[in-house]
Amino acid sequence: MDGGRRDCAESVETWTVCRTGVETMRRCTLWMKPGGGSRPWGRLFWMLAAIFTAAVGGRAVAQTIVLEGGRIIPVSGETIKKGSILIRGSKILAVGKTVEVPFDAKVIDVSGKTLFPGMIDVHVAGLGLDRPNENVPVAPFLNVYDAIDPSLLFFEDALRDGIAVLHLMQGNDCVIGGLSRVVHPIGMTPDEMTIVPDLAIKIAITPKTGFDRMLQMATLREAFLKFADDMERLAEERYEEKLRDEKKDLDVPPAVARERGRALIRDEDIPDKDRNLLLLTRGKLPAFIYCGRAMDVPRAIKIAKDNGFFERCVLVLGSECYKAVDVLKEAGRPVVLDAELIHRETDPITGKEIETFVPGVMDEAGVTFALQRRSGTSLGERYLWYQAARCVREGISRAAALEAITLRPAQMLGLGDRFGTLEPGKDASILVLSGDPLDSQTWVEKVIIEGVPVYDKAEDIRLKKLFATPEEELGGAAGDADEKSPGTSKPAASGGQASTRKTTTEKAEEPAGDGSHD
Amino acid sequence: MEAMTSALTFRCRLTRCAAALVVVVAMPSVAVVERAQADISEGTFVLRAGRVYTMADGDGWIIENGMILVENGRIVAVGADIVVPLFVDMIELPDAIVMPGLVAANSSLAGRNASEDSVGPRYRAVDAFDAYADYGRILSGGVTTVYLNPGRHRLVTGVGAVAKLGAAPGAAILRETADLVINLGERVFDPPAKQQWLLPPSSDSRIEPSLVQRPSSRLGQFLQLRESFDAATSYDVGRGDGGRSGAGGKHSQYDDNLAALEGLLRDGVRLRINADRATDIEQAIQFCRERGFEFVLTGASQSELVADILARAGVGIVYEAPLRPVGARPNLGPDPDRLDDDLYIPPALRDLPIAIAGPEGEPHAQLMLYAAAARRAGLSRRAAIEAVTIHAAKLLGVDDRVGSIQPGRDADLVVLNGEPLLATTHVRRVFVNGRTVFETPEKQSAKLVVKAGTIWTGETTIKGGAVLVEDGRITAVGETVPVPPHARVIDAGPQAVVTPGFIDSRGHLGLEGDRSRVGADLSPAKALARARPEFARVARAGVTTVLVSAYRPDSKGARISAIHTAGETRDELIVKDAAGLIFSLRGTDPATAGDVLRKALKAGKAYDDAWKKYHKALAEYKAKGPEQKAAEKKKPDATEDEVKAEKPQADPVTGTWEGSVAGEPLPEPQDFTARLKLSGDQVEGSLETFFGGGEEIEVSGTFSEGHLSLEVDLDIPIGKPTIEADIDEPDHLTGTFNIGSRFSFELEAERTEKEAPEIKISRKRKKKDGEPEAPKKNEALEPYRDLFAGKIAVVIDVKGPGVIGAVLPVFQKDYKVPFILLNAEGAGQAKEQIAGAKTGVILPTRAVRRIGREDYVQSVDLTRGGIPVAFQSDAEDGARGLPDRAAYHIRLGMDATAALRALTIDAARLMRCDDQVGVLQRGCRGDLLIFDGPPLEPGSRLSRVIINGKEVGR
Repeated sequence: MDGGRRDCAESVETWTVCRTGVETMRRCTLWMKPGGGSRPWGRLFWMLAAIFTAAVGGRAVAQTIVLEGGRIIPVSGETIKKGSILIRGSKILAVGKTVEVPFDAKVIDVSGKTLFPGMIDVHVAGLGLDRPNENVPVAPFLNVYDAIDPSLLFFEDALRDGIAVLHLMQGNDCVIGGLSRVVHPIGMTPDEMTIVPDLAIKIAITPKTGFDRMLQMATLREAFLKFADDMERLAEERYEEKLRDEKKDLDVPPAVARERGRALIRDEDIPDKDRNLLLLTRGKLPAFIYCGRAMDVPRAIKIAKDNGFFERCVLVLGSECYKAVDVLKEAGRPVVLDAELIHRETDPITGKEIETFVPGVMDEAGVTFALQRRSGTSLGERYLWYQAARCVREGISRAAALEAITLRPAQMLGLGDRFGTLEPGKDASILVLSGDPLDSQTWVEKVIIEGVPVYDKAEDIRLKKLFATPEEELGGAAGDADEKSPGTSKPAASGGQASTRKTTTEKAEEPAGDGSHD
Repeated sequence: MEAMTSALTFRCRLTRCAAALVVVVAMPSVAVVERAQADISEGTFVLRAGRVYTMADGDGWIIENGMILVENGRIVAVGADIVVPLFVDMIELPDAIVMPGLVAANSSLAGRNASEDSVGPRYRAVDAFDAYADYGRILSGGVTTVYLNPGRHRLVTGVGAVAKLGAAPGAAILRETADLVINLGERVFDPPAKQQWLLPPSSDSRIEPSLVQRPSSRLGQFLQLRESFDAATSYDVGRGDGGRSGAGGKHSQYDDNLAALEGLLRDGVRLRINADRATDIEQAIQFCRERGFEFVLTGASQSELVADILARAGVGIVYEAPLRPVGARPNLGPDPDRLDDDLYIPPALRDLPIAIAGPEGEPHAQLMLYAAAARRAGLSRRAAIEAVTIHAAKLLGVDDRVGSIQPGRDADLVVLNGEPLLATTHVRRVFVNGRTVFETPEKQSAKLVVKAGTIWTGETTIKGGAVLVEDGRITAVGETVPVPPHARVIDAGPQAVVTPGFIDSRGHLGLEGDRSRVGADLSPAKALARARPEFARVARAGVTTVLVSAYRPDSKGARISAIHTAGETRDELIVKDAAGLIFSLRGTDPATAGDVLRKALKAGKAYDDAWKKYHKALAEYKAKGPEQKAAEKKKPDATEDEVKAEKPQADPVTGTWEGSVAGEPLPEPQDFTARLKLSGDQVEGSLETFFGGGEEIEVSGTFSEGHLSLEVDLDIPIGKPTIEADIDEPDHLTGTFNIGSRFSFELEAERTEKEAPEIKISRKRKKKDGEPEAPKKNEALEPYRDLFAGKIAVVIDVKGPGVIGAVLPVFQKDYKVPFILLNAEGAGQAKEQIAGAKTGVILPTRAVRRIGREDYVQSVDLTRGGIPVAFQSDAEDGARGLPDRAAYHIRLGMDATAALRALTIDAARLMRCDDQVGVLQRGCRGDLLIFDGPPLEPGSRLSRVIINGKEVGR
C-alpha cells in the first residue's frame, strides 16, 4: 500500500502533468485508500506537496494524451473499429479514425482495447455516506455533503467497476430528503470529489419506516402547504413592515397585503430550513422522487405538478412500477429503474407466477429510463454493464441499453453536455476496457477522469491480492525485484513511449509485485 | 375451433366497420372514428341470464330471462325484451343469475393510519389505496366497490373514500372525499401523548413537553370534537380574502390538521360516525343536529335501544354482520356491560337505508355471506340484498354509478350460479365497467352441479335431488350434494327429469363405412383421435355411449370398444378400449356352433392362464428373500446353453435372405435382410428393414410344408407385423408382409447365404436371478384376460332357438364368462334357458316380426319374462334414432321403465361397464340427460346433454 503511494508520487508523468495541487491529490487518492490509518498525515503531506508544486511549477501544464488504435464506442454514434481520442486537459478534443497528434502528446497505445464513456450511477441511495438517512421525515435542509465519506471502499469499487460519475443522494427512507451531490469516485475530501454540488432533492412517496401511506402523503402534502403558508405570512409581514416604515396604517385586506408583500420578500428573510423548498417549488432544483410501488407513481406526479417541480423531476421506480407505464408515458419524465429488472408476482387465484421484464415494458412504451445497480451483492446486479447486458439479452436495442448507463443518466443529472458520450468538447471521462462493455469477461483496464488516468488495473493492489497465486502471496518481494516481468512494465511511466502490454485475467500472469516503477 | 375463431374475428371486424360507418355518417371526423372504434371494441355486449336482480325500486327488482345491453362499460338498457343492436357480442348465461356488483359499505382495505393524532382529519384513506394491486380474491366474492376506512382507532381518523376494484387504475376512485370518519367509544380513549420536535434544533427551539391528547372518557370525546370543529371554523379567519378586515388578530400558527378540517367543513363534508353504544349514538345524533351535519352511522350494535330516535332522524346505518367466518368470536364473560356482538335490527329501523359490511378483520370477499347473516338479524331477503348493493351505494353516495343494474350505471355485474344469499351460491364471473375481471378458474369450471325435480339414477328415483360432477366423473348423487366454490350449477326446475346418458349396445360409430373383416387385435377405439362431426348428432339425441364393433367380425371374434359421443381428450372419448368380444354365429349349424366358440375361448383361456401363472410366479418371486434369489442366481442359465448347443444344418430356410417389400402406402420398394435359423419346425432369427431404425429386430415363427409364417417382435398399436411366405423354388421366397390387418405388402426374397447366421439377438433373455419372464403379449388375445376376469362380456350374434340352445351350455358349463345374445331371433322359445343362464339380449333392429298370423314383439316378450334387454343401432350416426326406437317399443307394449333401463343400466350391466356408464353413481362418468318431462315420452324434450360433465352444444 505504501508502495502504491510512492509509486504515484515518484511517477514523472503524474508530477509534470498536473494542473493544480488539488488534482494531484485526487489522482493519488486511489492508491492511498487502503492506508486509511495514516490518512491525516497523508493529507497534510499532500497538501504541502500540492502547494509546493503549484508554487514551484508555477504553471498549469495542460496534459495532452492520445489514446490510439482502440475500438471506440462513443455511444453518441457509430462504433469506430480502430480509432483514436485526443484529450487535452480535462476535455476530449477529437475522436476519430485518426486524430492529429500534437507534438507534446503522450500517446497511449490502446489497440485491442475498447474505449467507452465512464459509466454513471445516477441514483446512489444512501451509499458512500456515513449513514443513509436522517430520522427527521421532512428535512430539505440536509445535505449529503455532510455525510460523504471518501474513505469508503464503495468509491474504490465504483472506480474499479468503471463508474466515473456518482450521484450521491439520501436514502429512500424519508419524506423529503436533503440535497444531493454529483461526484467522481476519487478524491480525499467531498470537495475534491465534487462535480456538481447540491444538485437535487430527494422525495419519497413510498412510506418511510414507521409510516403508512396515509401518514406519508399527509406529511408530504403538508410540508408544501406549510411552506406556502409560511411564505404568505412572510409576505404579509413584509408589507406590514413597509407600511410601518412609511408610517402608514394597514389599509388593505390580507389577500392584497400578501400580494403586495410577495415582491418585498428578501432572500435573507427565508429561513434556512425552507430555502431548498423555495428553490424546489420555483423549479430551480430538480427532485428525484422515489416510487416503490405502481400506486406511488400517480401520487408522485400529482405532488410534483401541484408544487411546480414536475418539469424537473426524475422518478426513481421500484420494479412493480411497470404497471403504471401508461401514467409514466403520459408524464414523459425520465425514470430510473430498480436494480431488480424482473418483477415477479403470484396470481392470487391461480397461484401462477408471473414474471415481467421491466425495462422491456418501459422501452416499448418509449419511457426514457436509466439503469441502476445494486451495491453490496455478489450477484451481477452490482455492475451497471451487467444490467445493460441483461436488457440486450431481453430484446432491447444495444444502443438503448448502452445509453441507459451513460448518456441518459448524464442527461437526467443535467450533465448531458459533459458526460455520457465520447465526443469532442465533453469531459474526458473514459474507460479503457479489455473487451466489449457488455461482455462478462471484460475488465476495466484504465479509467481516465477529467483527462487524468486515475485507475490502472495493473496497479490495483486489491485485485492483485485477490488473484494472487499462493507463491505470489509468499514471495511478494520477489515480484518487486522482477521489474522486467511483462505484467509490471507500466506504459504510463515509459516516458511517453507507448508500449503494448497484454493483460489477462489469468491468475498466473497477474503482476506479482505492487511497487514497480522506473 | 379455427373456424370459430375466424368467424369471431370476422364478426368483430364487421362490428367495427358498422360502428365506423355510423360515426362517419354522424360526424365526419377521423379522430372521432378512431376513438369510437377503440371504445366499442371493449366493454360492449349483451348479456342474457336466467334471472336478473336489477335492484331497481319497485317490482322491477327481478327480471326473469333478463337482458342487459352494455356499451362502453356502461349499462344502456335492461329488460326482458330489449332491442339488441346488430353485431354486438351476446353472452348467454341461461343458468345464471346476474346481480349488480356488491358494494362493501365499510372495509379496512386502506389499513389504518399510523399517526398519533387523536384528531387527524388530514389523513386520507385514498392515499393508501393501491389501484394497481390485484384484487382477484375480493372480486371472486363479487365485491366490486368498497368504502375505504382510514381506521377506527382514534377519535377522528381522517377522510374515507370509495373505490372500485378491478377498474382501470385511473378510474378506480369513485369518491376521493366520501366522508370524515369519527369514532366513538372505548377504543378511541387514551390516545398516546404527542411529541413535537422543532427543527432545525438549536438553543432557541426548546423541547416542548409532550402534548396530552383527549379523549380519555365519554365526556372528552365530544369536548374534543366541539373544540376541534370550532377551532377549524375560526382557523381560516385572517386567511380568506377579506376575512380579516378589522379583526386585527394575528395570523394563526399553521396547523395541518386544522387546515385540513377547515377545508372539509367548508366543502360541507359528510360525517361517518362509528358508534356502538346507545349513549354514543344518541350524542352523535345530537351533535350532528346542532351543527347541521349529514351523517352515516357505522356499527350501531345497540341501535335497538335508540331505535325510535334513529328512526325519527332517518339516519343511514352500516351494520357489521354478526358473523365471523374466519376469526373466532371473543369471549364476553359475565360482564353485562360488554357489547354483545350479535345483531338485532329492530323493525322500526328496517325501512331505513341499511347497509351490511363485513366485521373488522374478516375476509372482504365474503360480503354475500354477511348479507345472508343479516337476515337472521331481521332483514327481509330483499332488504338483505339491498344492504350490499343499492342501499350501500346510497349510503356511500355513489348510487348514480353502482349498486343497481339500470341504464346509465356502470356495468359492474356479478354472475352467480344460484340464488343470492344461499351458502351454496358462488360467483362465476364478475364484470367491472363491462370488462371481465374474474372468471371461474379452469380447475373449478370443470365442476358441475345439476339440480332437477326428479333424478332417475338407473335404479332409484330421487325427488328434488342433485348430481355433482367433478373432473368428468360423478362424485355425489342425492337430495343435496356439496357445491364446490364457483362450480357451475344447472337448476333444471321441478318438472325436469335427469337420467343417465343412453347407451347404444352395438353400433359402428366412427367406422366410416369400413366393412372389412377384422379380428380381436384391432381396437375400434384406437382408430379414433377425436370425436368426428357426426358424433354430435348422436350425442344431441341423448346417446352418450356407443359400444362400437366392426360390421363383420372375424370368425375368431372381434373387439368391442366403448366410446363417448363427445370428448376432447382421448380419456374423455374412450370409455373402455376393450369393452367386449363379438362373435357372429349367424347361420352356423347348431351342431358346430358351440365348438367354434369353445375353440376361441380355449385359446383365450390358455393365454389368460399363462399370464395368471406368470403373475403368480412373479408374486412368489417378489415374496422371496434376497438370499434365495442369490442362491438361484448360481444356477446355470439353461437358455444360453441351448443356444450354444444348436448346430447349424443345411435346410430350406436357414441362412440370410435378401429381398424387398412393396405396395401401398409404401412410396417405393424397401429392401430387407432376414437372417433365419430353422430348428425342427420353429424358425427364429432377425430382420433388418425399413422400420426399426436400422436395428435388427427379432422374428420368430414356424415353417411347415414350404410355408414360412413369421411374427416380427415389434409393438405397433395396430398389431405386430407378420410375414406369410412360401418357398416357391429353392432359395426363393414370395409372400406378404402384413402389419395388423390393415396393411399388406408384397414380399420377395432370395437366400444369399446358407450358413447358419449369427443371431445377434438372443431371444430368451432370462433374468439372471430367476425372475419369471412375462409371456408374450398377443393383442388378439389380450381381451380374454379381462373376459376371464369378468370385466367384459362376449356378445354372440345368434339366430334361432337351435343355435341359442347350442351356445348357452358353452357358457354355463365350459367357460363361465359373462355373455350376451345379440339379435337372438327366436329367443322367445328359449326364454327359460336364457333366464337360467342369467344373461340378456340385445334386441334386433326390427321391433316387430310376424310369426304366423300374429305380430311378435321380442322386447315385450323377453322383458316380461324377466330377461334384461338392450338396444342396438347397427349403424353409425344412425344411433341418434335409438331413443325414438325405445319410445316405439313402449308403444308396442314394453314397460317404460324397462325401456329406459334397456338404454341405460341394463345395457351397462350386460356389457359389464356399469362402473363407467349407464347409471348415476359415485365414480361413474358424468353423463347426464336432462328432459323437461318424463323421458322417452315423445312429447318430452331432451333439453340438455352432458357428457363427462361438459354440456354438448345444441
